[in-house]
Amino acid sequence: MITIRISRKVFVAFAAVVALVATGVIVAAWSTTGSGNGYAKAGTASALTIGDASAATVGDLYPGGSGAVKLKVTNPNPFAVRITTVAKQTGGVITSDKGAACNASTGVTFTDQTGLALDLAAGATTTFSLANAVSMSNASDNTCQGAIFTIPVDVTGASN
Amino acid sequence: MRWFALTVAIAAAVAAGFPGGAAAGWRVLASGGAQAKAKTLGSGNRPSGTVSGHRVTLTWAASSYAEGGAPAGYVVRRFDAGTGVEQVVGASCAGIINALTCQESSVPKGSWQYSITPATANWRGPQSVRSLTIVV
Repeated sequence: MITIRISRKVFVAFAAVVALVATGVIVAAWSTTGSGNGYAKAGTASALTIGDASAATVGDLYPGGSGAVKLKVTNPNPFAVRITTVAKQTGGVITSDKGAACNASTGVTFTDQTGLALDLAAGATTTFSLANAVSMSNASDNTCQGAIFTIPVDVTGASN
Repeated sequence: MRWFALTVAIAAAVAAGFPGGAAAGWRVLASGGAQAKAKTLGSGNRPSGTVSGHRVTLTWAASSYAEGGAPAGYVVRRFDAGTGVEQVVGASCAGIINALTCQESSVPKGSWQYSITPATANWRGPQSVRSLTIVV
């Protein structure tokens, strides 16, 4: 075995460089910061897009009950992604297609979904169903019968 | 060799702070609207009634949501058979009735018709066809 003797200072400097390189590389991969509808590092990944899932909804909400939320997501990237969190936007307002009376008192509450494993293939569009993600209170207005509610959400995921 | 081992240990510790490593991939976000849909209450069913003195006993068949499932209850309404004017129904049949029958006591003399409306909280389904005239 060959023994190479290097001073303590050299090793400390080497350790620091190794640490910085490791940190830099790894952080660069994760820090795809940005704002708006989605972001990715240096233009190499595109934002997911959320479409209208109204056609996939099934009437299952009623006062005192809970129901499913439909989420239609398109992944324009050449790699698969896994969605892990769907949360109601801060300050977001749930609206309906039934007008002002229903909107004033939908009675609908969305429960943030975490720990999800919603897989989306490269270039695919998929409509996901989030079971029991919404509930409706007895405050729901009579005009909300048959309504389709739109819940503003933020979706978080990563390449998979 | 001790320093080399230390160096490797430091690098490993740093890497461990980022699970999955650089190859773990890209974080992706999106914002938009998700959708959910409400049920619709079906129509009430025409009630039938029997009279005993000033007491009227009504019965009716169950209603449902268009998508399935039963409403929480039913609203009973009474009308003057001649004028069509709605009357105040007796306490035993007032509010949302969680049954398929109702017995109204102390009904005034007259000719009356009843209807049934499915109800859940603030929601109301279409009112039933009115009953045949009931004479008290």
